[in-house]
Amino acid sequence: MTRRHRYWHAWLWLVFGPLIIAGFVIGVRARPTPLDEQPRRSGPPESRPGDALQPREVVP
Amino acid sequence: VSTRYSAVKWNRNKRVYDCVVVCGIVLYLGLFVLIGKLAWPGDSGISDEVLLIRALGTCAFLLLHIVLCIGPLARFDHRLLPLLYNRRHLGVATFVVALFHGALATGYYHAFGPLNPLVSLLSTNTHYASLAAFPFEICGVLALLILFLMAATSHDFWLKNLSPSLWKGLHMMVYSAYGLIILHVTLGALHTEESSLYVVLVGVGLAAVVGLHLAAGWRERLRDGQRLSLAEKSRADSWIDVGSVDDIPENRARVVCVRGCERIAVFRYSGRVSAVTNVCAHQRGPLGEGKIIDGCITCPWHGWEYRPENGQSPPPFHERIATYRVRVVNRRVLVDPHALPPGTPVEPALIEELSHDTVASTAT
Repeated sequence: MTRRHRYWHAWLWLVFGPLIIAGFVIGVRARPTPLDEQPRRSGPPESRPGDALQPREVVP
Repeated sequence: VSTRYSAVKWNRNKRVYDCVVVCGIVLYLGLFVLIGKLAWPGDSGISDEVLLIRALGTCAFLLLHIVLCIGPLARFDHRLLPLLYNRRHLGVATFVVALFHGALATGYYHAFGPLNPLVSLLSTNTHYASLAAFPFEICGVLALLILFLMAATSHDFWLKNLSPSLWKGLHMMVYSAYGLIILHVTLGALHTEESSLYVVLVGVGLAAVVGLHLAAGWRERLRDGQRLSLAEKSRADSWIDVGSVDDIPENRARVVCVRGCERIAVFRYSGRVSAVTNVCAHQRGPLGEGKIIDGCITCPWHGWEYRPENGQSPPPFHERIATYRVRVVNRRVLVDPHALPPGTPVEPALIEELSHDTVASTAT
Protein backbone atom coordinates (compact mmCIF):
# COMPACT_ATOMS: atom_id res chain seq x y z
CA MET A 1 0.00 0.00 0.00
CA THR A 2 1.53 3.29 -1.04
CA ARG A 3 1.79 6.32 1.21
CA ARG A 4 -0.54 8.23 -1.10
CA HIS A 5 -3.12 5.47 -1.01
CA ARG A 6 -3.04 5.33 2.79
CA TYR A 7 -3.72 9.06 3.09
CA TRP A 8 -6.38 9.00 0.40
CA HIS A 9 -8.10 6.14 2.22
CA ALA A 10 -8.04 8.02 5.53
CA TRP A 11 -9.52 11.15 3.92
CA LEU A 12 -12.16 9.04 2.22
CA TRP A 13 -13.41 7.76 5.58
CA LEU A 14 -13.23 11.21 7.13
CA VAL A 15 -15.73 12.41 4.51
CA PHE A 16 -17.67 9.24 3.72
CA GLY A 17 -18.13 8.02 7.31
CA PRO A 18 -20.11 11.03 8.57
CA LEU A 19 -22.17 10.97 5.35
CA ILE A 20 -23.32 7.38 5.97
CA ILE A 21 -23.98 8.13 9.64
CA ALA A 22 -26.03 11.18 8.64
CA GLY A 23 -28.05 9.06 6.19
CA PHE A 24 -28.65 6.49 8.90
CA VAL A 25 -29.78 9.07 11.46
CA ILE A 26 -32.11 10.79 8.98
CA GLY A 27 -33.55 7.42 7.97
CA VAL A 28 -34.15 6.40 11.59
CA ARG A 29 -35.81 9.74 12.40
CA ALA A 30 -38.20 9.17 9.50
CA ARG A 31 -39.43 5.90 11.01
CA PRO A 32 -43.21 5.77 11.38
CA THR A 33 -44.13 6.01 15.07
CA PRO A 34 -46.09 3.01 16.39
CA LEU A 35 -49.65 3.83 17.51
CA ASP A 36 -49.06 2.83 21.15
CA GLU A 37 -45.92 4.95 21.33
CA GLN A 38 -47.33 8.18 19.95
CA PRO A 39 -46.17 11.09 22.12
CA ARG A 40 -48.73 12.84 24.29
CA ARG A 41 -49.47 16.45 23.61
CA SER A 42 -47.96 18.66 26.24
CA GLY A 43 -50.26 21.59 25.49
CA PRO A 44 -54.00 21.96 25.98
CA PRO A 45 -56.36 19.63 24.13
CA GLU A 46 -57.18 20.55 20.57
CA SER A 47 -59.92 23.17 20.48
CA ARG A 48 -63.20 22.38 18.86
CA PRO A 49 -65.11 24.90 16.68
CA GLY A 50 -67.58 25.69 19.44
CA ASP A 51 -64.99 26.07 22.20
CA ALA A 52 -63.98 29.57 21.32
CA LEU A 53 -67.21 30.99 22.60
CA GLN A 54 -68.75 29.38 25.70
CA PRO A 55 -72.45 29.84 26.32
CA ARG A 56 -71.88 31.83 29.52
CA GLU A 57 -69.64 34.23 27.71
CA VAL A 58 -72.08 34.99 24.99
CA VAL A 59 -73.00 38.59 25.10
CA PRO A 60 -76.58 39.11 24.17
CA VAL B 1 10.56 -21.95 -7.93
CA SER B 2 9.32 -20.91 -11.35
CA THR B 3 7.54 -24.18 -12.08
CA ARG B 4 5.49 -23.77 -8.90
CA TYR B 5 4.84 -20.09 -9.35
CA SER B 6 1.28 -18.95 -9.89
CA ALA B 7 -0.35 -15.54 -9.54
CA VAL B 8 -2.70 -16.73 -6.84
CA LYS B 9 -1.88 -19.80 -4.82
CA TRP B 10 -4.64 -22.14 -3.78
CA ASN B 11 -3.31 -23.79 -0.68
CA ARG B 12 -4.65 -25.81 2.22
CA ASN B 13 -5.17 -22.72 4.38
CA LYS B 14 -7.47 -21.18 1.79
CA ARG B 15 -9.48 -24.37 1.50
CA VAL B 16 -9.89 -24.52 5.28
CA TYR B 17 -10.84 -20.82 5.26
CA ASP B 18 -13.52 -21.44 2.62
CA CYS B 19 -14.90 -24.44 4.51
CA VAL B 20 -15.17 -22.38 7.70
CA VAL B 21 -16.96 -19.58 5.81
CA VAL B 22 -19.48 -21.94 4.16
CA CYS B 23 -20.12 -23.86 7.39
CA GLY B 24 -20.52 -20.59 9.29
CA ILE B 25 -23.09 -19.29 6.79
CA VAL B 26 -25.09 -22.53 6.83
CA LEU B 27 -24.98 -22.61 10.64
CA TYR B 28 -26.15 -18.99 10.89
CA LEU B 29 -29.05 -19.55 8.49
CA GLY B 30 -30.10 -22.73 10.28
CA LEU B 31 -29.97 -21.11 13.72
CA PHE B 32 -31.86 -18.03 12.51
CA VAL B 33 -34.70 -20.10 11.06
CA LEU B 34 -34.80 -22.41 14.09
CA ILE B 35 -34.91 -19.55 16.60
CA GLY B 36 -37.48 -17.76 14.44
CA LYS B 37 -39.75 -20.80 14.42
CA LEU B 38 -39.40 -21.22 18.18
CA ALA B 39 -39.95 -17.54 18.93
CA TRP B 40 -43.05 -17.20 16.72
CA PRO B 41 -44.76 -20.61 16.69
CA GLY B 42 -48.15 -21.58 15.29
CA ASP B 43 -50.34 -19.84 12.75
CA SER B 44 -49.35 -16.40 14.04
CA GLY B 45 -45.71 -17.10 13.23
CA ILE B 46 -43.66 -15.78 10.35
CA SER B 47 -43.80 -17.86 7.18
CA ASP B 48 -40.79 -19.98 6.23
CA GLU B 49 -40.12 -17.86 3.15
CA VAL B 50 -40.05 -14.57 5.07
CA LEU B 51 -37.90 -16.13 7.77
CA LEU B 52 -35.40 -17.29 5.16
CA ILE B 53 -35.43 -13.88 3.44
CA ARG B 54 -34.60 -12.26 6.77
CA ALA B 55 -31.95 -14.86 7.59
CA LEU B 56 -30.22 -14.34 4.22
CA GLY B 57 -30.46 -10.55 4.47
CA THR B 58 -29.03 -10.34 7.98
CA CYS B 59 -26.33 -12.86 7.08
CA ALA B 60 -25.18 -10.80 4.07
CA PHE B 61 -25.30 -7.61 6.17
CA LEU B 62 -23.19 -9.23 8.88
CA LEU B 63 -20.70 -10.64 6.37
CA LEU B 64 -20.24 -7.22 4.77
CA HIS B 65 -19.44 -5.74 8.18
CA ILE B 66 -16.85 -8.45 8.79
CA VAL B 67 -15.31 -7.85 5.34
CA LEU B 68 -15.03 -4.13 6.01
CA CYS B 69 -13.68 -4.52 9.55
CA ILE B 70 -10.96 -7.06 8.69
CA GLY B 71 -8.71 -4.45 7.02
CA PRO B 72 -8.43 -1.97 9.91
CA LEU B 73 -8.43 -4.74 12.53
CA ALA B 74 -5.43 -6.36 10.84
CA ARG B 75 -3.62 -3.00 11.18
CA PHE B 76 -4.06 -3.22 14.95
CA ASP B 77 -3.39 -6.93 15.39
CA HIS B 78 -1.20 -8.75 12.90
CA ARG B 79 -2.57 -12.11 13.99
CA LEU B 80 -5.62 -11.24 11.89
CA LEU B 81 -3.57 -10.88 8.71
CA PRO B 82 -4.54 -14.37 7.41
CA LEU B 83 -8.15 -13.18 7.40
CA LEU B 84 -7.10 -10.14 5.37
CA TYR B 85 -5.25 -12.23 2.79
CA ASN B 86 -8.36 -14.30 2.07
CA ARG B 87 -10.82 -11.44 2.26
CA ARG B 88 -11.76 -11.91 -1.40
CA HIS B 89 -13.42 -15.23 -0.60
CA LEU B 90 -15.52 -13.64 2.11
CA GLY B 91 -16.54 -10.87 -0.29
CA VAL B 92 -17.72 -13.36 -2.91
CA ALA B 93 -19.64 -15.25 -0.21
CA THR B 94 -21.31 -11.97 0.79
CA PHE B 95 -22.45 -11.40 -2.79
CA VAL B 96 -23.83 -14.94 -3.14
CA VAL B 97 -25.83 -14.69 0.11
CA ALA B 98 -27.10 -11.22 -0.86
CA LEU B 99 -28.10 -12.53 -4.29
CA PHE B 100 -30.20 -15.30 -2.73
CA HIS B 101 -31.79 -12.74 -0.41
CA GLY B 102 -32.67 -10.46 -3.33
CA ALA B 103 -33.92 -13.28 -5.55
CA LEU B 104 -36.10 -14.80 -2.83
CA ALA B 105 -37.54 -11.44 -1.75
CA THR B 106 -38.31 -10.46 -5.35
CA GLY B 107 -39.96 -13.80 -6.00
CA TYR B 108 -41.98 -13.70 -2.79
CA TYR B 109 -43.24 -10.12 -3.00
CA HIS B 110 -43.43 -9.52 -6.78
CA ALA B 111 -43.94 -12.84 -8.57
CA PHE B 112 -47.70 -13.17 -8.08
CA GLY B 113 -48.88 -10.13 -9.99
CA PRO B 114 -49.42 -9.53 -13.69
CA LEU B 115 -46.09 -7.72 -14.07
CA ASN B 116 -42.67 -9.26 -14.51
CA PRO B 117 -41.15 -9.54 -10.99
CA LEU B 118 -38.19 -7.28 -11.84
CA VAL B 119 -40.43 -4.70 -13.51
CA SER B 120 -42.75 -4.85 -10.53
CA LEU B 121 -39.81 -4.42 -8.14
CA LEU B 122 -38.56 -1.33 -9.92
CA SER B 123 -41.86 0.31 -10.78
CA THR B 124 -44.42 -0.46 -8.06
CA ASN B 125 -43.25 2.05 -5.48
CA THR B 126 -42.32 5.47 -6.88
CA HIS B 127 -42.42 7.56 -3.70
CA TYR B 128 -38.90 8.84 -4.14
CA ALA B 129 -39.74 12.14 -2.46
CA SER B 130 -40.88 10.51 0.77
CA LEU B 131 -38.44 9.12 3.32
CA ALA B 132 -41.16 7.16 5.10
CA ALA B 133 -42.29 5.39 1.92
CA PHE B 134 -39.02 5.47 -0.04
CA PRO B 135 -38.53 2.46 -2.36
CA PHE B 136 -35.68 1.03 -0.31
CA GLU B 137 -35.44 -1.94 -2.66
CA ILE B 138 -33.66 0.28 -5.22
CA CYS B 139 -30.77 0.79 -2.78
CA GLY B 140 -30.47 -2.97 -2.37
CA VAL B 141 -30.52 -3.56 -6.13
CA LEU B 142 -27.76 -0.98 -6.73
CA ALA B 143 -25.64 -2.42 -3.91
CA LEU B 144 -26.12 -5.91 -5.33
CA LEU B 145 -24.95 -4.72 -8.77
CA ILE B 146 -21.76 -3.30 -7.21
CA LEU B 147 -21.15 -6.51 -5.27
CA PHE B 148 -21.67 -8.46 -8.50
CA LEU B 149 -19.06 -6.36 -10.32
CA MET B 150 -16.60 -6.94 -7.50
CA ALA B 151 -17.26 -10.66 -7.23
CA ALA B 152 -16.99 -11.12 -11.00
CA THR B 153 -13.69 -9.26 -11.25
CA SER B 154 -12.16 -10.92 -8.20
CA HIS B 155 -11.12 -13.83 -10.42
CA ASP B 156 -7.44 -14.22 -11.28
CA PHE B 157 -8.14 -13.38 -14.93
CA TRP B 158 -9.24 -9.86 -14.03
CA LEU B 159 -6.52 -9.48 -11.44
CA LYS B 160 -3.96 -10.06 -14.17
CA ASN B 161 -5.56 -8.03 -16.94
CA LEU B 162 -6.99 -4.94 -15.25
CA SER B 163 -4.52 -2.22 -14.38
CA PRO B 164 -3.84 -1.80 -10.63
CA SER B 165 -5.55 1.58 -10.45
CA LEU B 166 -8.66 0.41 -12.31
CA TRP B 167 -9.00 -2.80 -10.31
CA LYS B 168 -8.43 -1.02 -7.04
CA GLY B 169 -10.86 1.76 -7.97
CA LEU B 170 -13.48 -0.79 -8.91
CA HIS B 171 -13.13 -2.61 -5.61
CA MET B 172 -13.20 0.63 -3.63
CA MET B 173 -16.85 0.78 -4.69
CA VAL B 174 -17.56 -1.54 -1.78
CA TYR B 175 -17.84 1.60 0.36
CA SER B 176 -20.62 2.91 -1.89
CA ALA B 177 -22.30 -0.48 -1.67
CA TYR B 178 -22.06 -0.29 2.11
CA GLY B 179 -23.70 3.14 2.17
CA LEU B 180 -26.51 1.89 -0.08
CA ILE B 181 -27.07 -1.17 2.09
CA ILE B 182 -27.25 0.98 5.23
CA LEU B 183 -29.98 3.01 3.48
CA HIS B 184 -31.67 -0.20 2.29
CA VAL B 185 -31.82 -1.58 5.83
CA THR B 186 -32.69 1.73 7.51
CA LEU B 187 -35.52 2.66 5.13
CA GLY B 188 -36.73 -0.92 4.81
CA ALA B 189 -36.36 -3.26 7.77
CA LEU B 190 -36.00 -0.55 10.42
CA HIS B 191 -39.17 1.16 9.18
CA THR B 192 -41.23 -2.00 9.48
CA GLU B 193 -39.81 -3.26 12.79
CA GLU B 194 -41.11 -1.45 15.86
CA SER B 195 -38.38 -2.55 18.25
CA SER B 196 -35.52 -0.12 18.80
CA LEU B 197 -33.14 -3.04 19.31
CA TYR B 198 -32.61 -3.33 15.55
CA VAL B 199 -31.77 0.37 15.30
CA VAL B 200 -29.18 -0.05 18.04
CA LEU B 201 -27.65 -3.13 16.38
CA VAL B 202 -27.32 -1.42 12.99
CA GLY B 203 -25.96 1.70 14.68
CA VAL B 204 -23.31 -0.31 16.54
CA GLY B 205 -22.23 -2.02 13.31
CA LEU B 206 -22.01 1.31 11.48
CA ALA B 207 -20.06 2.92 14.31
CA ALA B 208 -17.66 -0.04 14.35
CA VAL B 209 -16.94 0.17 10.62
CA VAL B 210 -16.49 3.94 10.51
CA GLY B 211 -14.64 4.13 13.84
CA LEU B 212 -12.20 1.33 12.99
CA HIS B 213 -11.31 2.87 9.62
CA LEU B 214 -10.73 6.28 11.13
CA ALA B 215 -8.69 4.86 14.02
CA ALA B 216 -6.57 2.75 11.67
CA GLY B 217 -5.94 5.76 9.41
CA TRP B 218 -4.90 7.86 12.40
CA ARG B 219 -2.56 5.11 13.63
CA GLU B 220 -0.86 4.86 10.23
CA ARG B 221 -0.39 8.61 10.21
CA LEU B 222 1.23 8.53 13.65
CA ARG B 223 3.42 5.63 12.59
CA ASP B 224 4.65 7.50 9.52
CA GLY B 225 5.40 10.51 11.70
CA GLN B 226 7.49 8.48 14.16
CA ARG B 227 9.48 6.82 11.42
CA LEU B 228 10.03 10.17 9.79
CA SER B 229 11.61 11.50 12.98
CA LEU B 230 13.83 8.45 13.14
CA ALA B 231 14.88 9.00 9.55
CA GLU B 232 15.64 12.68 10.14
CA LYS B 233 17.89 11.80 13.07
CA SER B 234 19.80 9.35 10.93
CA ARG B 235 20.18 11.68 7.99
CA ALA B 236 23.73 12.64 8.98
CA ASP B 237 25.22 9.32 8.07
CA SER B 238 22.42 8.53 5.57
CA TRP B 239 22.02 4.99 6.90
CA ILE B 240 18.93 4.22 8.98
CA ASP B 241 19.14 2.04 12.06
CA VAL B 242 16.21 -0.34 11.63
CA GLY B 243 16.84 -2.12 14.93
CA SER B 244 18.34 -5.34 16.16
CA VAL B 245 18.47 -8.24 13.75
CA ASP B 246 17.02 -10.40 16.53
CA ASP B 247 13.81 -8.37 16.40
CA ILE B 248 13.10 -9.55 12.86
CA PRO B 249 11.48 -13.01 12.80
CA GLU B 250 12.96 -15.57 10.42
CA ASN B 251 11.49 -15.30 6.89
CA ARG B 252 9.61 -12.17 7.93
CA ALA B 253 10.21 -8.45 7.62
CA ARG B 254 10.38 -5.28 9.61
CA VAL B 255 8.86 -2.25 7.91
CA VAL B 256 10.46 1.20 8.15
CA CYS B 257 9.32 4.53 6.70
CA VAL B 258 11.85 6.96 5.25
CA ARG B 259 11.71 10.72 4.73
CA GLY B 260 8.08 10.78 3.73
CA CYS B 261 8.68 8.25 0.96
CA GLU B 262 7.48 4.71 0.56
CA ARG B 263 8.16 2.26 3.35
CA ILE B 264 11.02 -0.23 3.21
CA ALA B 265 10.59 -3.92 4.07
CA VAL B 266 13.71 -5.44 5.65
CA PHE B 267 13.62 -9.25 5.43
CA ARG B 268 15.61 -11.76 7.43
CA TYR B 269 16.12 -15.21 5.94
CA SER B 270 18.69 -18.02 6.09
CA GLY B 271 21.24 -15.98 8.05
CA ARG B 272 20.95 -12.99 5.71
CA VAL B 273 19.17 -9.66 5.54
CA SER B 274 17.81 -7.90 2.42
CA ALA B 275 15.72 -4.77 1.95
CA VAL B 276 13.14 -4.02 -0.75
CA THR B 277 10.32 -1.54 -1.17
CA ASN B 278 7.18 -2.34 0.81
CA VAL B 279 4.99 -1.83 -2.28
CA CYS B 280 4.16 -4.77 -4.53
CA ALA B 281 4.34 -4.08 -8.27
CA HIS B 282 0.99 -5.77 -8.81
CA GLN B 283 -1.70 -4.14 -6.66
CA ARG B 284 0.59 -2.19 -4.29
CA GLY B 285 0.17 -4.76 -1.57
CA PRO B 286 2.27 -4.48 1.63
CA LEU B 287 5.19 -6.82 0.96
CA GLY B 288 6.51 -6.32 4.49
CA GLU B 289 3.45 -8.13 5.83
CA GLY B 290 4.21 -11.15 3.67
CA LYS B 291 6.84 -13.80 4.23
CA ILE B 292 9.55 -15.61 2.35
CA ILE B 293 8.29 -18.84 0.80
CA ASP B 294 10.53 -21.03 -1.37
CA GLY B 295 13.21 -18.35 -1.27
CA CYS B 296 10.91 -15.61 -2.58
CA ILE B 297 9.20 -12.68 -0.85
CA THR B 298 5.50 -13.48 -1.28
CA CYS B 299 2.98 -10.65 -1.33
CA PRO B 300 0.23 -11.29 1.21
CA TRP B 301 -2.48 -9.96 -1.06
CA HIS B 302 -2.21 -12.01 -4.25
CA GLY B 303 0.89 -14.15 -3.87
CA TRP B 304 3.21 -12.30 -6.28
CA GLU B 305 6.82 -13.25 -5.65
CA TYR B 306 10.18 -11.47 -5.71
CA ARG B 307 13.69 -12.61 -4.95
CA PRO B 308 14.92 -10.66 -1.90
CA GLU B 309 18.46 -10.18 -3.23
CA ASN B 310 17.43 -8.44 -6.48
CA GLY B 311 13.70 -7.60 -6.29
CA GLN B 312 12.97 -9.58 -9.46
CA SER B 313 10.15 -12.06 -9.96
CA PRO B 314 11.36 -15.57 -10.79
CA PRO B 315 11.24 -16.55 -14.49
CA PRO B 316 9.17 -16.47 -16.64
CA PHE B 317 7.81 -13.33 -14.95
CA HIS B 318 9.37 -9.89 -15.36
CA GLU B 319 8.05 -7.80 -12.47
CA ARG B 320 10.67 -5.82 -10.56
CA ILE B 321 10.65 -3.77 -7.38
CA ALA B 322 13.14 -1.31 -5.88
CA THR B 323 15.90 -2.66 -3.65
CA TYR B 324 18.00 -1.01 -0.93
CA ARG B 325 21.55 -1.45 0.29
CA VAL B 326 21.67 -3.03 3.72
CA ARG B 327 24.35 -4.02 6.24
CA VAL B 328 24.52 -5.54 9.72
CA VAL B 329 26.86 -4.00 12.29
CA ASN B 330 26.99 -5.41 15.84
CA ARG B 331 23.69 -7.14 15.10
CA ARG B 332 22.09 -3.81 14.24
CA VAL B 333 20.48 -3.61 10.79
CA LEU B 334 21.33 -0.48 8.81
CA VAL B 335 19.59 0.49 5.57
CA ASP B 336 20.57 3.05 2.98
CA PRO B 337 17.29 4.96 2.44
CA HIS B 338 18.07 5.74 -1.21
CA ALA B 339 16.09 3.36 -3.39
CA LEU B 340 17.98 1.60 -6.15
CA PRO B 341 16.34 1.11 -9.56
CA PRO B 342 13.83 -1.76 -9.60
CA GLY B 343 15.50 -5.13 -10.02
CA THR B 344 18.99 -3.98 -8.98
CA PRO B 345 20.91 -6.87 -7.37
CA VAL B 346 22.17 -6.09 -3.86
CA GLU B 347 24.44 -8.36 -1.87
CA PRO B 348 22.50 -9.51 1.24
CA ALA B 349 24.05 -8.63 4.59
CA LEU B 350 25.25 -11.66 6.49
CA ILE B 351 24.24 -12.13 10.12
CA GLU B 352 27.17 -13.22 12.26
CA GLU B 353 26.17 -16.06 14.57
CA LEU B 354 26.41 -15.34 18.29
CA SER B 355 28.82 -17.46 20.31
CA HIS B 356 27.63 -18.94 23.62
CA ASP B 357 29.64 -16.36 25.59
CA THR B 358 28.08 -13.51 23.66
CA VAL B 359 24.60 -14.91 24.16
CA ALA B 360 25.22 -15.21 27.91
CA SER B 361 26.53 -11.66 28.19
CA THR B 362 23.63 -10.34 26.09
CA ALA B 363 21.14 -12.13 28.31
CA THR B 364 22.59 -10.62 31.46
